Amino acid sequence: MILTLEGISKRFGALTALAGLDLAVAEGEFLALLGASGSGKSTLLRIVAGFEEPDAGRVLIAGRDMAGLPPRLRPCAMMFQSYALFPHMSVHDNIAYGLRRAGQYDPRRVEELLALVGLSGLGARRPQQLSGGQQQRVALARALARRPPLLLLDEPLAALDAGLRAATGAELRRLQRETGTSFVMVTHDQQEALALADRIAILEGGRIAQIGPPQEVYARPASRFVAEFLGAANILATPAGPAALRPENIRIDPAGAWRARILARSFRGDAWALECALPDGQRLRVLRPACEPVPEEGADVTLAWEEAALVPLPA
Amino acid sequence: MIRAMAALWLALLVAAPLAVIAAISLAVPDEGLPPFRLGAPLADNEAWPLLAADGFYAAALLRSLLLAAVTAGCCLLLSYPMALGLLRLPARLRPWVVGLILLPFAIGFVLRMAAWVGLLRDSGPINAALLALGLIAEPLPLLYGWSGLFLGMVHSYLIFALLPLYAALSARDPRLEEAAADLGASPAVVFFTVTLPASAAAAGAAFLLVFIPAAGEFVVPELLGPPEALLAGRAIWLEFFQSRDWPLAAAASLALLLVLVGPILLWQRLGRAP
Amino acid sequence: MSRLILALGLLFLWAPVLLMVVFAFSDARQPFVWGGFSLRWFAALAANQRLQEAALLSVGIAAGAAALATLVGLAIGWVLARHGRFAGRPAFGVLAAAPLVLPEVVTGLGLLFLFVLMERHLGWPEGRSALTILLAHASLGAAYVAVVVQARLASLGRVLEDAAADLGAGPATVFRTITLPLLAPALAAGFALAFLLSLDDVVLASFTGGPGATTLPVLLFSQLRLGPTPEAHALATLMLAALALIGAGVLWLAGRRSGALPLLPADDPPQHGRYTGDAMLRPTCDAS
Repeated sequence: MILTLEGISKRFGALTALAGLDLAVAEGEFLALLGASGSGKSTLLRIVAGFEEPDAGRVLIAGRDMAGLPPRLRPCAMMFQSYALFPHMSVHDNIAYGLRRAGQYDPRRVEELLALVGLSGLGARRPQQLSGGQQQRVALARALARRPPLLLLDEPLAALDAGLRAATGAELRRLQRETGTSFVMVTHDQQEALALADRIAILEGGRIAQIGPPQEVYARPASRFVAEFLGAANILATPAGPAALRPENIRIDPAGAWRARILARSFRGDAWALECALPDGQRLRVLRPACEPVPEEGADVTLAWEEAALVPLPA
Repeated sequence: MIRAMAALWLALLVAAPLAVIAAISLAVPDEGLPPFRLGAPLADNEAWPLLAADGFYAAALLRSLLLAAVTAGCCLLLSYPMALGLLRLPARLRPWVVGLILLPFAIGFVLRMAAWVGLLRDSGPINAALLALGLIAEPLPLLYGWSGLFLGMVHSYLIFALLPLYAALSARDPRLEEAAADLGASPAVVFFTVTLPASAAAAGAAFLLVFIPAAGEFVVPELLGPPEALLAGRAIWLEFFQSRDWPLAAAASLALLLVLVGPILLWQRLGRAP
Repeated sequence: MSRLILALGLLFLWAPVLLMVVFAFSDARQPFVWGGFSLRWFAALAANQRLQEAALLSVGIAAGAAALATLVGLAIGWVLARHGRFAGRPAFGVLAAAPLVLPEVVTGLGLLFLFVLMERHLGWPEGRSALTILLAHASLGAAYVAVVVQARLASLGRVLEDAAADLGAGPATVFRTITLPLLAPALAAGFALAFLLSLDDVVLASFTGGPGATTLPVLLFSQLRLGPTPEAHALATLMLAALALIGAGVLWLAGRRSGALPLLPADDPPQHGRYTGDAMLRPTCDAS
C-alpha cells in the first residue's frame, strides 16, 4: 500500500469534517475521492499532505507513519485546486522549484517534464501568460518533478472550461499510467471520477460510504446516499424493502406493467430526460436514447424494467 | 519570536506613550526638569479639575470639532464629484491625473501653507486684484481669519478624502448602474438610488479620515488661522511649549483623544465594511 | 459636470503651487510681487547653509525611519495576516492601527514624555536628537507599512506558501523565495509612504527633536511664522521639478509594464485570471 489511512478524525469547532475514516491506496492506483462540497474531501488531502494534523488516526505513506512530519518532508506531492503557480517565476523555474530544494536541479529534467506535458518551448513564459489548460499542465509537471510515488490532486479539472475537461482528464490518465505514480484525486464531479479512476471512494459524513471500481459502485450502490449521489437513481419501495433503479434501465413499453404520465421532458443531445409520475404520485426519472421516439409532455405511457435492474438497499 | 518583537515595538512606541500621558496627566506640576512630580495624591491634581472647570478648554475642543467637521464636509463635497470625474476619464489618462493630484501634496504641506500665507496676506495677490478691480475698498482680512483657515485646511486634507473615495468608487461594480439604467432610471435617479447608497460607507470613512486628524490639527491654524481661534491642538501645544504645564498638556491631549474614540471606532467599522 | 468639478478641484490644488513657481523667478523681495525675472532666490537657497543642513538631516532621518518602519511594519503586518488568533490579538490589532488615527499632537507629546522618562530612569536616549525623531517617524511609518503588508498578504492567501512547502521548501526558504518577492511591491510602496510622511512632518519632529536637530519642515515652519519669503518659493519649485520628474518616470515605466500606479497598493498579479479567479477565493479546506 502506498497510502494507508487509519481512523482519521478532524473537527473544526463544532463541525466534524472527518469521523474515523479508513482508506488504503495501492501502488500505481488512480483513486478518486468523490463527495459533495463540505464532505471533508479537501481536508483529507490536506491531512495527507501535512498541512493539517488529524485529531485522531494515522497517516502512513509507503508504510511510514507521517505523524509530526511537515509537508516538505513527506514523500507525496500535491497539485492544488487553483494550481498555485508562482506568478513571479517562469514556467521553467516553477517546475524546477522542487528540484532545487532537493539539490537535484537539472535543466534537462525540466525540459523532459515540459515535453511530458506537451509544453516544450514554453519554459520562459510566466504562468499568467498561459491558458488555463496550460497552467494546469505546468502544475502537474511541477508536482511530478521529483517523481513522488504519490500525487494528491485537489479538483484538478474544476477550473477548466467544460470543453477542455474531457481531453485534460484523458491526459491525466495517460500521465498516471506512464509515470506509474499513484494518484489520489478529490472531485465533486461524478462523471470525472467514473471516467478516470481505477477505484472511487464516496465520502459521506466524514467516512467512506463505499469504495470500489466505478462500474461496481455504480451498478451496486451500497446505500441510498450512494445510489442518489452517483447517477441520481430512483428509490422505489418494494415488498422486500427499498431498491434503487437507474433512470436508463426504465423502458417505455406498451406491454409494460406500470402506467405513468410524462410530466416534463428535456432533450440532452444524446438522450431524453423524462420526469414521470406513477398513479400513486411517486416520481420517476427516466433516461431514453435520443434515437428513440418519446411522447409529448402530458402523455400517458406504460413503463417497464427488468427485475434484475432493481438493486436492493439497506432499509 | 517575530510576534514577540512586533508586540514589544508596539508596547514601547505606541502603548507606553499613551500610558505615560495618562500618568503625567495625574501628576502635579513641579519646578525642575521634567516639570512634574509623579505619585502625588490624586486630590492634589490640578490638571483635570482645571480642564473640567475652565470653559476655555471645552470651547477649544468644541471649536476643533466644528472646524474638523466643516473641513471634512467640504473635502467630501469636493472630492466625491472629483472622484467620479476621475472615473469618467479614459483609463489611460487616470494614473496621470492621479499623479497631477498627488504632486502638489508631494512638495510638503509646510511649503503649500507658505503659498497660502503669501496669497492671503493683505498685500497679497488676491487682495491686490480685488482692490484693483474696485470690488473692495480695503483689503479683506483673509490671512489670520476663518476663511483663510478653511481654505488651508481643505487644501491640506482633500487628498485624504479623495483617494479612498476614488479607490472605493473604482472598485464598485459598474453593472449595477447599467442594470438600474436598463430598468428605466434616469442618470440622476441612478446616482441617488445606486451609486450613492453603494458608496455611503466609503464616503463616511473618507469623512472620518479627514475629521479625525483635522480635529487635532496644529500647524494650519497656527499659520493661517485667527489668533483668537484657540483649538485643541494649539491649546496642547501652548500648554507644553509655552506654559510648560506638562500635566495640563497631558490631560488636554487625553481629553481630545477621548472625544475622538467614537469617530475612530466608527471609522474602523466603516473601513471593514465591503 | 463631475469632470468640470475635477478640473476646478485641480485648479484649487494647483493654483497656489503654480503661483509659487512663477514668483520664485521674481526679483522682488516681497513674496508674490513681480519685480522682473531673476534667479536670486535660487542663489540665496544655494547659499543658505542652515536650510541645506536641515534638508540633509531630514532626508537622513526619512531614509532611516522608512527603512526601520519597513522592517517593523513587515513584522506587524505578518503577525496580523498570518498568526490567526492568539492571546492579546485584539490589543495587538488596536495598537498596530493606533498611530494611523491618533492626533499628531497626542502622539508627539506621548513620545516626548516617554523619551524624557526613559532618559531619566534608563539613561537612554540621551536628549532630544535626530535619533528620537527617527524613532517617532518609524513608529508612524510602521503602522502604514503594516496596513499595506497585511492587505497584500491577505490577498495572496497562503496557497502559494503551502505549494512551496509541499515542494520541499522550509519556512525560511518559503519566505525568501515566495513571500518576499511577492511582497516586494507592497514593501516598496510602504517604504515610499513612510519616507514621505517623515519628510513632511512638523509636529512629531517639533516634540521629539531638540535644538540640535531641526528638520527642514520644522525650520520652514518656524520661518513661516515670522512671514513668507521668496526663498521658500524657490525651494518649492526645485522640489516640484524633482518630484514631477520622478513621478513621470515611474508612471511611464509602470505604463509600459501594466498601467497600474506603483505607489498605490498594487492589484493582484493577473495569475488570478479567468481560470483561477473563483477558486483562489474559496477556502482551502472545504470543511472550514
